Amino acid sequence: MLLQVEKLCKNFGGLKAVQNIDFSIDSGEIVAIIGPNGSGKTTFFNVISGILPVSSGGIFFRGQDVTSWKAHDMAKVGLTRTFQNIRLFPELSVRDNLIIGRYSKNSSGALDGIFHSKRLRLEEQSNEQVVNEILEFTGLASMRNVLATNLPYGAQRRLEIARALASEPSLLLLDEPAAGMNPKEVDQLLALIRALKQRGLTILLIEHQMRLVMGIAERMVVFDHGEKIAEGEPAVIRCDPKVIEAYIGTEVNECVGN
Amino acid sequence: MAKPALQFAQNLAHKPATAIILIAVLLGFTFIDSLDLTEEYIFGAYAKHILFISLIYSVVTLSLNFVTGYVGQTSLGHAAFFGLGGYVSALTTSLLHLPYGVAFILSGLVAALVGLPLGAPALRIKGPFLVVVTYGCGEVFKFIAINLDITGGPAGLPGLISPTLGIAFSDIGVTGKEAFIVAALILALVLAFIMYRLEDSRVGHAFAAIRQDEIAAASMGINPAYYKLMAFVFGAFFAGLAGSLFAHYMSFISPDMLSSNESIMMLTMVVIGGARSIPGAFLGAFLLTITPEFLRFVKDVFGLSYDPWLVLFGLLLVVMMRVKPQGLLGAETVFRR
Repeated sequence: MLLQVEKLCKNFGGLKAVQNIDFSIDSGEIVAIIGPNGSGKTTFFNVISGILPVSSGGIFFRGQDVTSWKAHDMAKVGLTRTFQNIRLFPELSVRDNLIIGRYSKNSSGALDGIFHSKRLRLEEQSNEQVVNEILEFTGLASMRNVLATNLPYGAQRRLEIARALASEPSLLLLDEPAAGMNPKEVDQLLALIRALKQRGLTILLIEHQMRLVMGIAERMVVFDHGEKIAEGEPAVIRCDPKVIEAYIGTEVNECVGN
Repeated sequence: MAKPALQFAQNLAHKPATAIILIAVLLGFTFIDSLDLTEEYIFGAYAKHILFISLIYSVVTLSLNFVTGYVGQTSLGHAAFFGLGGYVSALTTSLLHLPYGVAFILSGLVAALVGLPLGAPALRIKGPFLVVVTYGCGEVFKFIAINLDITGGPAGLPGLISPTLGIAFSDIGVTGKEAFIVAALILALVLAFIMYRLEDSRVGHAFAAIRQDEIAAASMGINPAYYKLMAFVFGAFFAGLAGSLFAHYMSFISPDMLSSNESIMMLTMVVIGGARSIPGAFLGAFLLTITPEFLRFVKDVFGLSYDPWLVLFGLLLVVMMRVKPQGLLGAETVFRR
């Protein structure tokens, strides 16, 4: 089991944003979390990626207890994420954003920098190689030197994924990667995620666009009011009455015919 | 007029050879005039004094750039480290009778050590709150210096040693203190070099990431607390060294060195020169040291009843904020390698 979450709770004062979530994801899986707005999906991401502290419960990464770890520790063991409201380094170029993505794979410090040590130079060489490869892979190579803030919206979303890839994660968390994208950009994103799956990457994503989710997820988890109300294969989830009531809407009849 | 000056400074920044020649001319001027004790000597001594002060403030401005420039945290208490360095080396030489070299290193180390806990609030608060906290810390230092016997109280400590290192030409006034000009210049250049190298290392990249988006930086594996403290400690260390040089050059130290006016001036130098810009730090320091001196002449010549500098200073700040908020040589962040 790559990531295991046990009875996870997150409270903000009296508000129970995430309640008693049991969840796990295995290497190579693509799992989607869906649910209405305010159902605790992003809070769940923030807690497992170490940005928010846990209220109660436990998080285990490759069997190791990481419950109290901070975001930067999680990134070092291979859990990298993107954000719902894009968080790039706006004043840095596309390439430099990826260089920062390489941070957790490098180890040189202040003295290496001042003396331009061999370690730093070796790291720079390998970074350059990895960054170029990821730029090609994500279709950002032609925008290499453009400042992140000047990129079109869809490219900013892709750059966030590219930056996460630069850290060579073992588990990639995508928080609404298709939010605000036009249909063409969604298709590109779908192709990108499929390609990542081919490479054996484990992906956990939050997504609202059912077209995207149904196209790639092997398993779905449904949140409502901070609780997990359903879990299973997309085809089964789509016909679950609880899910339909909470999220998809009661008007859907297509399941009856199947 | 501002544009050619700007281009000149930018050229200087990109052409090390030009910079070296300029430095050589400055130093030549510093030494040659000392040989001749004629009327010009008075001006020479005065110019050298201004040169030294400008260089010291260049070091201080560069050091404040770690905190304000690199991790983007506004500190209004930087004079605390500058003064602390001065007091540490003053006491090391006058009470412990240790050689100046030891006092110099010690001043930086103690300032860095004190910077560590003082940097801690900077981990939790930002913006105007941090400004108030750092301002408060600076004031606390000042009142400690005023109220302790060991620091000489409000009168400070006079008669500090000023080693000549054998490059003084006479013992009259600052002509005996060329060693300090050279030391300040070397310190400024070493610090500029360190910053130039750091900017484009993994550490500099981490600084840039934290400055632009702390949460995104943390999700990339960067520990913001670690780097903010590192910036504070580096800044304090070099400010302490500069304070030591300053105190012993003056052979006198008083709590004025710790005043909030000093801190505000240091921050203004960073802002006017351009945060994160190394030539900008020099430009800010020289500009804000030389201009008030020049305007003193203007005041005398025109017989003004007020100091035109204060009027101009206010105006300069307003115009800068309106026209060029990133500073005269405001730097863009582009990783060189």
